[in-house]
Amino acid sequence: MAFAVEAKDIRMTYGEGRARVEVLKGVDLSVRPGEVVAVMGPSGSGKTTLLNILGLVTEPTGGRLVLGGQDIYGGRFRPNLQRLRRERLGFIFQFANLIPFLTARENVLLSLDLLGLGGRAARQRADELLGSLGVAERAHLLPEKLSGGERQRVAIARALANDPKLILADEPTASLDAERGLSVMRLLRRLADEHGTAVLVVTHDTRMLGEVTGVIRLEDGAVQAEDARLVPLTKAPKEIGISS
Amino acid sequence: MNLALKDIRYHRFKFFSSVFGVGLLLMVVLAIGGIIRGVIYDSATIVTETGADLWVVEKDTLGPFVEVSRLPEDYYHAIEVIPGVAEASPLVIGMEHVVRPPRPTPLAKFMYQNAVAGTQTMVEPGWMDVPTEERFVVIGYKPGRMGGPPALVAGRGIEADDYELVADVKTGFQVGERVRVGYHDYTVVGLTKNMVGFTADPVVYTTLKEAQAILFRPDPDLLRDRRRRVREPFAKEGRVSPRLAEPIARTAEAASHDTHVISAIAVRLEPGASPEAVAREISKGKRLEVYTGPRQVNIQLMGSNRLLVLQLSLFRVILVVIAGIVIGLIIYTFTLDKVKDIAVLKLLGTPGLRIYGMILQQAVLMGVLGTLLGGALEFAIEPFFPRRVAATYGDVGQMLAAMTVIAALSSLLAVRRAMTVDARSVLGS
Repeated sequence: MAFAVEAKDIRMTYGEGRARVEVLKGVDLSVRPGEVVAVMGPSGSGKTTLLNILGLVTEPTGGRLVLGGQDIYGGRFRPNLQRLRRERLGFIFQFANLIPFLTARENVLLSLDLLGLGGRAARQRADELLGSLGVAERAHLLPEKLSGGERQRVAIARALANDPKLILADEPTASLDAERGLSVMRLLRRLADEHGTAVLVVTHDTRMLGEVTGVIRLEDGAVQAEDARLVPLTKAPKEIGISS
Repeated sequence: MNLALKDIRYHRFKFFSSVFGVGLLLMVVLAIGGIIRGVIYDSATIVTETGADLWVVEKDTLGPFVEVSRLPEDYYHAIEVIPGVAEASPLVIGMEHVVRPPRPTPLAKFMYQNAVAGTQTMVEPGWMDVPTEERFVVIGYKPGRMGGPPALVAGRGIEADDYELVADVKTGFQVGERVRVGYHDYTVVGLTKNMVGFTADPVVYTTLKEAQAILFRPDPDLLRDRRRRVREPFAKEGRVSPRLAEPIARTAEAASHDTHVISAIAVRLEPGASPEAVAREISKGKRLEVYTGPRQVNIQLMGSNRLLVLQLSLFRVILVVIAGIVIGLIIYTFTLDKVKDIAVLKLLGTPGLRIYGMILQQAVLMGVLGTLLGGALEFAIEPFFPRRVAATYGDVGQMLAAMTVIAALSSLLAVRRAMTVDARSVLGS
């Protein structure tokens, strides 16, 4: 099966000369459709930089990034990254980061609107997504009227609206209690299974690892350990190099 | 999905309170524009309402409104026969006043106190409470000819020399009221509206003869003195035959208080007649000055109200600039509040133009709504101004166009800020 995202020898350095800092030192990573892979590591290990590179907002200084079979930076012509982000990627953030002036439904509709989809069909799709995530009754409310868990569900619905090939989740459970965090992770896992979406989750929370299919541990800008094997939902992933 | 409107819906109190503030500012801008136009209207009203194409006045004077102009009354007969002249109407124009008890309203008192703050030593103490002299412009005309009151709002017009007046409503006179002007009591028989001189003093119309009596009849003491001086040479024996002395003295006396003087002659031309050619013909061989209507208006405007108009115009420009800056700063702070949302939008792949469009739309909407509100408020407060304020829908339209451009330009600062928002700031934070 083709990879949803494949990163080869990704390098990222800032500054020059003595001020040169190598944040990523040749990271290899690949996620298949339907996989939920956790990226873990201490602060300063390069997780955020990796997420920015995979999210197409930072260009790596070295290496190769292939998204859905398309070599992003190695081709003759540079693709429209903004367009790729809105068509192929979905983002979930630590604090949901819903647009505060849009209702839950409008936040989901925004993703569709950016693809040029509108009208009844778009509303139906948004309502379906919100319904499948259990927040249909809250669709008319502004984010400030939603609980943290509801906000995160709406954010997931938004991330799924464009039917992305890859969802990048940045600490999606960090602002939630254990129960709600686990519920969100289960949801991501279910969506990956049902929609065949690849999910890459940056997390510190080892309690959530029961729902991932693979773990990548970053340390000092390099992958220290990896286990990206597909595992059944009922089984815990093999965690390597993680101390809980 | 219109992000600008959605954002406004969410921040409605903040947005509309900002619109209210901008509206108040633009109300002042529009009011100043109205005041400027009011000054121009006041400078032009009498001239334009008279309907004269040419104004004939005394040589080397600027006309009856800003200088004293004296002409022989009969000159208008000579002008009327000049080819191209359809009508020549003698007019008497001058300032008069009546003393009336003070009628200060609380608003007027407040405005007075505010106006004299810091200059109390220069004005009469208790200025508002002492009997006030109400000045007005007296215009004498021949009924049936040019120069009389335009449309009446109450009462009737003047038909003959019968000690009657038609007054502008700003005088405060009522129809039927008896008013002492000069040496006689006059009855107010009609009221007109918006007829003021260039100093905004209201106009009072009467017949030519009665206006001449009001404005030119000498003071009784002056008359006695003139009579004495006229009689003195005849009184000395031997100089004039006693048989002739008395009639000559009487004639001389009569001449000394003759009031057959006019201020100007309003001339209406026949269709197609050249104003320049007729003006040359009128002034040929006579000590006369001839002005066109627009020139006469300009003399008043440029001579007396020029600096006032320029001062107000400059103030208006400054306020427009300030309004632009205020809108710019408001939109900038709006944008600062949305930096994180903009970063999220960028990360989700929202095209930059759409984000900048949101900021631009909000700025323009604020400018447009502020202008409409400012226009509505300006029209509402106009009646409270002591002088004419004549803002128009055209002014509001011009302001709309100007504020659209200004708001768009002022939003550039916010757009620039939005351009610097980094989508990366959302991840890992």
